[in-house]
Amino acid sequence: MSVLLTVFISEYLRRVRTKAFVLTTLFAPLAIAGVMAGAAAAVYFSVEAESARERRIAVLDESGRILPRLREQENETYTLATAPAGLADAKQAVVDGEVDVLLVLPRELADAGGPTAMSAYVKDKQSLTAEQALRRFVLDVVRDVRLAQFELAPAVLKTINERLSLATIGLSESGDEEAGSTAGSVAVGLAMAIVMLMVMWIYGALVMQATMEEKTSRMAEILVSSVRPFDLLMGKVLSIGGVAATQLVVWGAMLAAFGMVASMVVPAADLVELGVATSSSAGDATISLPSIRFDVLFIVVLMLPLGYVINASLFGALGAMYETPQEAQVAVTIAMTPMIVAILMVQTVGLAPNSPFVAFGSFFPFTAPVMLPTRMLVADVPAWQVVLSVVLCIVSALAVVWLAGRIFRGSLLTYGKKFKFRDVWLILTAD
Amino acid sequence: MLEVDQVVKHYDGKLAVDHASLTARPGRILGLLGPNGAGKTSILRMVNNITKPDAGEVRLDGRVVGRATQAAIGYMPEERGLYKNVKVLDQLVYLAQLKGLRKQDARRSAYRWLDALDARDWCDQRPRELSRGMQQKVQFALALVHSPRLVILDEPFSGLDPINSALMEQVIRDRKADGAIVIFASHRMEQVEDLCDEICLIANGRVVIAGDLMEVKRGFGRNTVSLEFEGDGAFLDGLAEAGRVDVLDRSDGRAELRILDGYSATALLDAARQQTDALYQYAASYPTLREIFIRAVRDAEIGAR
Repeated sequence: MSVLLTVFISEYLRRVRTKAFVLTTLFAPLAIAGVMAGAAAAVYFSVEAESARERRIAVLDESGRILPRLREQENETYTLATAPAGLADAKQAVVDGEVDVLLVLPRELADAGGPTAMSAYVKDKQSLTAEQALRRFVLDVVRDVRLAQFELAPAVLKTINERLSLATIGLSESGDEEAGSTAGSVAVGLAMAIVMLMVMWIYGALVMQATMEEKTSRMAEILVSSVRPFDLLMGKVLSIGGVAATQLVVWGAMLAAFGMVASMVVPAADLVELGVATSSSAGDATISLPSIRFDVLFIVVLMLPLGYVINASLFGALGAMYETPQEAQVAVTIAMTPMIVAILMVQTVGLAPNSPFVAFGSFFPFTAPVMLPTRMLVADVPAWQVVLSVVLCIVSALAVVWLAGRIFRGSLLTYGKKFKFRDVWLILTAD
Repeated sequence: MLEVDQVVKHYDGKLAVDHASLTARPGRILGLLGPNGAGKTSILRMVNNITKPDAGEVRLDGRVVGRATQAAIGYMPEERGLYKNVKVLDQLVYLAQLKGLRKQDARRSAYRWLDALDARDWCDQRPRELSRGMQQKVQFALALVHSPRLVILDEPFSGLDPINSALMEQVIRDRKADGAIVIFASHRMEQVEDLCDEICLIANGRVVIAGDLMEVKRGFGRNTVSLEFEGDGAFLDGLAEAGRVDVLDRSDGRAELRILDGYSATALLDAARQQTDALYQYAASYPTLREIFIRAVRDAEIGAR
């Protein structure tokens, strides 16, 4: 059995058999789901409470034509109060808390073609929810009053008020239709990119922690008297990669199982109603989710391990250079820059998926694992570009692994030294 | 046989090992001595193929050391290292596997060594739960678990109580009897004297003294004298001032001296008989290893300047 395999198996089993691994694998999704559900519920209920809070509105309607219509709209949230005559006194009433909102409607506001601005005075700033609720309460009424002068037919009014929607349907060369808007693709791409980056980031950091531990526990010297440093580093990178794959597969299975159970328990129509699923037939849906693209999935499965290996090897080499995470801080920041750039780049994919900048990002090996699949989701990427990007990424992964192996070997047994660029250069160029 | 042949090693442009040569033979224990920073660890790392010499060669049984010879070497470095959170048995099995043993054999061998070191009970414990002495024994077992041809032990006894020390000493002697090559690096001169057949003393990256321990001692002559007497011993001051003897160690009624050139053991005996109230003991012997060490290192430093 090769030494690399021994290191891989031993390290993998050692990690997978810990209680911490079992607990995080089983309960992390539940914990995350719990926190998210909790946060969503908290927001939902506080928004409900906020919009249900009763507010007294005093209206200074100079034309006198809008106030009666507002009165018709009165509900449990908004009640109309009489304001003291005169703007100054009315404002004072707001300050004193006698009324919550003072709405000032200029005389010409009721006329078609008149000014369109009005003001609402409130004590302190209001929440976003309250502001939106106030707009809903007032603006439609004002518009209706202005439109009323034209004596339009009800059908015309209805047509004006109708909300329109546009669904994007992609056509492939074979004529298959694929629903899903660009916005939806960008959203999915962004979510996918963030998950990929987190995987590279978290598990890469684990590799650094592992090599650093071997260095500081002085286990390194015994190990490299038995194993090539390269095998040691790669064994670590691959075993932690295996741990990552195990966790992702388990989580994927849990998600799928949850989806199946949920769809059996709750009929699809109810899910739509609950807001859990989006229906593409819902008339006002401007963002619809794209269907699963297996070509993109394939590229993710191919590129995510490559991206991981590139990052984890670098992190592993850094772990061999430093004895504490504090010392490694600056170097880690530098090593993470490409990933941070990738996060920024991914957001531009939707704006111009075929721009040179985005195309470059999908070729550049440090950002390609995230950029290429995202770009493929949004735009048609020529096959040769996909192949080129993958090949570049494979070549770079091999190069980075080689470089990292040398840095690892050259720095693992050096203690109490601050590495400078020159030292790293010497390590890399040493025979 | 291990041959270190004219080996040179630089670190950061500084010369750490300067054309060093030494030989360690099967069934013999070689004591590797030298002050801190003399280059011992540098040499041991090259023997272990952790680093490569800039010039010269290291050979084990005629083969230049490399990946293949690593499996035949067991190394206990001075800086101890164990995985803090991995069970003792698992560490031993892992290391033995890295040295090329199959899993079953590795496990069997690990148990055998834990038994030999009276440490079987801890096989499911983790080093962070063990005392320093216990960890030391595990470390020792790590170096031996694959029954290596060459055993390298750097300060193996530090932190051990006399009972465990004796146990490990016996294990080392057993390895020697089995025909293994043993290298023992230490600053404890009495232990080296006790255990080693040959010594190699390194100073400033160079081999200063090498050879059979007894022969090395003989080379220094039987000119170390220990005295036990009654009286103030003032005559010793006179002899020392006259350049006849070197006082190595002195306390009330006891002294250890080295006879310098141009003076003789009999003359010293006469002087002692005449100038003490009573002479209880007079013994001329070879210098201790400690004395040889101090002299050789001092000479090397003078030479280096």
